[in-house]
Amino acid sequence: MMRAVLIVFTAISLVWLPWQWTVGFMIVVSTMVPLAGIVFGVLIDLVYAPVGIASLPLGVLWGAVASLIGYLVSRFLRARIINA
Amino acid sequence: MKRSSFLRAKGFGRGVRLFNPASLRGGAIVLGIVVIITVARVVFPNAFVSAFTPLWKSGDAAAASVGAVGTFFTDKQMLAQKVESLQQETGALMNENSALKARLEDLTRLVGTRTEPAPGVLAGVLARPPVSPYDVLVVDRGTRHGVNSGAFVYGAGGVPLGTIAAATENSSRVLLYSSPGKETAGWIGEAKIAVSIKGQGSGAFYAEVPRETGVVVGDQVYVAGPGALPVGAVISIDANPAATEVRVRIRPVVNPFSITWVTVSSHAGL
Repeated sequence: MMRAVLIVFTAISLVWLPWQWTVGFMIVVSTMVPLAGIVFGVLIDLVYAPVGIASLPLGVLWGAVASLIGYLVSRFLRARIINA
Repeated sequence: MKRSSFLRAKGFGRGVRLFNPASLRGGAIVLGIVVIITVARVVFPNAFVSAFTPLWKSGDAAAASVGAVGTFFTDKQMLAQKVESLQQETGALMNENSALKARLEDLTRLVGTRTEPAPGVLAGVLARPPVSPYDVLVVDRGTRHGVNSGAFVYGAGGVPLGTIAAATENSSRVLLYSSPGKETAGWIGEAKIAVSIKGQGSGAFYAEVPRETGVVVGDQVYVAGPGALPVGAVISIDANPAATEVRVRIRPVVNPFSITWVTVSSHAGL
């Protein structure tokens, strides 16, 4: 349930909230679904980055960072639970 | 030496495999989704903007409602003062309006009712920085309304903002001159020194000019439009004594965070 709510919040933040909030939500969601970060990152670029934009694909980069953080956190939490 | 709690958790290096079959399967599914939407972006580059347009519109409506609710909690005395000042302002505007109306009637009698055609298409802004990360505006007018890729976009007072980067039937994306990495030819100061204005994001620009050009803080910065149109003003000059060029930081005339309406020229630029 919590997972679904966070995914919906992240999707909403994509169109209604500053993109930094979306990145924050992406990191939080990635702790539960690690690859959600990269998916939302790609979505940011699909929605906002016109083809041929001069800057780096920020959405994908932030998505990858979110997924990596989420993956490491989820691994750490799982290890804590296993060893508790 | 005592090991940290992180290492003691045995999450890394022993006990737990880096990738299990379930993770790999999930990864393959997500990778597939990413590939599909990336291919979709290449084949239908603007489909996602069209799909998100209703959400942006409902977001604007919701924001307006929330703003109205917020006023309920403000101080009553402050509201009373605000009402009084608004009444005074309304009175002043009515007087001004009467004077302008009389003047318009005089001028109409003098030159008739001929007016110039509208300079372009008026478009409402659906998404702006900081919601969009690339200094991109999403506007609610598209090819159906005469908006084409490459058309120039102007803010209040005819200030150039950027160009249409992509247009769908009912919406378009505007790439602002301040978009990171975007370079625009322009001029600085009354001497119109030619420079390449580079976008930094969040509405900011910078330019590099030779030291001997004598650019000073407060100089206007222009880009080409119908003539030279101001887009910003120099706010600081970073001078490195060893360098032959100075970096000029430019503040935009129009704050991209608060743009609500833009005018799109009816013809595409170069």
